[in-house]
Amino acid sequence: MQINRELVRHLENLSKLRLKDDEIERIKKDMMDILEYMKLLDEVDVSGYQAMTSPIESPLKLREDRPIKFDASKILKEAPKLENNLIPVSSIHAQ
Amino acid sequence: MLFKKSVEGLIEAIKHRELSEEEVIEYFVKRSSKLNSKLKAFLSTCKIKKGKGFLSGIPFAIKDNMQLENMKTTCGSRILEDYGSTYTATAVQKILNMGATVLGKTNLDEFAMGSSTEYSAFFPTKNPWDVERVPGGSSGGSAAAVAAGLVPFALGSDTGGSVRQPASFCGIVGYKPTYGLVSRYGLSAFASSLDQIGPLTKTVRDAAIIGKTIMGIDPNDATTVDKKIDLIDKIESNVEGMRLAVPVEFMKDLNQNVKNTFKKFIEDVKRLGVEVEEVPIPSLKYAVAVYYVIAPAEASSNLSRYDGIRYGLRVEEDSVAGIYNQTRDKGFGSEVKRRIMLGTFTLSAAYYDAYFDKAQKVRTKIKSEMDEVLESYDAIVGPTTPVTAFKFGEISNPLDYYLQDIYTIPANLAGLPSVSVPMGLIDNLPIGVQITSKRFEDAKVLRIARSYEKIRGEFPMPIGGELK
Repeated sequence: MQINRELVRHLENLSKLRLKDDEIERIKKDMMDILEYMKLLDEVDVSGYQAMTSPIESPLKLREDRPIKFDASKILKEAPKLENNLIPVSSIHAQ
Repeated sequence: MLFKKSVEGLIEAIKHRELSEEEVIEYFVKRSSKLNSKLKAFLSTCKIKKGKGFLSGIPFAIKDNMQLENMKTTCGSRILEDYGSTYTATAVQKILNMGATVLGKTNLDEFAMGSSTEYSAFFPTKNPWDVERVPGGSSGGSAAAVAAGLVPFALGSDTGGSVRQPASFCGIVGYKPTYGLVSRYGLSAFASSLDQIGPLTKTVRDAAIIGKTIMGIDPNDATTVDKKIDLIDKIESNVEGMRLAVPVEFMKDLNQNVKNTFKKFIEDVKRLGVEVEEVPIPSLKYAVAVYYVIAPAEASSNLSRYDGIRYGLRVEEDSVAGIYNQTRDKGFGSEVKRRIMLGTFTLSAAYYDAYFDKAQKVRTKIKSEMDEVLESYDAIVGPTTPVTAFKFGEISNPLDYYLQDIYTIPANLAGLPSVSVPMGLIDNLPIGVQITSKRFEDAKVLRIARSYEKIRGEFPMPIGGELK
């Protein structure tokens, strides 16, 4: 599997990371090594096997949809920036 | 010598009024503050007690990826360096309800991604057996704290071996319950289909006592199951006639020292009237590859919540996208970034079928092969780790590092109960044996472990040198 700079940039964008040049080179190499190792899976015949998403056998039980009481100020206190109890962010449309 | 006592021993001593609850707590507070500067097991310390019950007077520690109200929960990451918990994790609450006192939150590889604590954003924890070596990970802080007697027990989390591997490296017991028995509510998610909280203790009986305390269905975690398992009542029963399977795949490339130690284990359990046979489980050789597709994929999704907006670190930029990118770039360390990139890759449209879907199917195959073996055998056994604790910086290649988890990963993939018990010392470094059984056979796993522990005899503590 060839991991080129273009693919790394694409993944970086999807991952919302901004890597430095030396990090990009290192990740390219690491990913190639790891994906090379994963080629091991090519030889496995999985016909007849379903994809496993969880070890839990029974369907998950949903809890009742009702609001619970919680002091929201405790959560808001954790926001890195707060103005009039609102969390401000930079422009969404800026380039 | 209070630090040598098990949880049970301390409970007895308090019950018989040899010691008061306060005396026990103060003793461990003092011992922790004295030795922590050498081991660096804690990221933060405290003295929090909430309830009253059979654990009153017993101190403990929790891995710093579990929420504890009014304390920081950093997950070993810069991105949560100043994050304060607004609630308490269910498993932690259950122990608090029984009267125990939290003395601190322990170090870990960032977001539990690692096997050595070298990937903690703050500092590595040292192995009490040899301070130039890693304690294992990711629950390395919890393991070092218990091994050196800073606390009599601790909680860790196990996604691919993060409770059992450090237990093996530090010479203590590490128990990963069946997936679904212990609530993950308040445990910062790494890979949700694999994560499970478990105790690190000095004895198997302590692991059973704490395991029983933290179990139970929780409306706040839809993956918990409604099952009550008594881990204690038959723990002393004999195991005569049981059959143990040793996967051929585990023995193949094993180094001679570990092989010899494991052979001694086999001889010991045979004396208990247990049959031990080598059995092929061919798909086990794919476990690491499957894990490193599935765990990073789940992690890349779980860690998308750290965006610099609602909590944690924020690096200001003039666009929202810039805030996301810069915050995550500054906040995450190299291993976390590597796994996010890898997970994003295997989940991306062009590669999903080839990697993620394929890995999930191989996961089913591994589980069904293990289940099949466990139809004819009571448990699967083998060394917990391929080596004893390595030195800081000794393993620099990510793939070699990932292969450290080769024996522990299968139990997570299949959701099985698994326990690591110390089985010997190699050049004065401990190594554990791992016992794994069918889903919900936790009592059997601990019973086998307890029988072995009795015949093995008391395991030493690392109390020489700097830890006097």
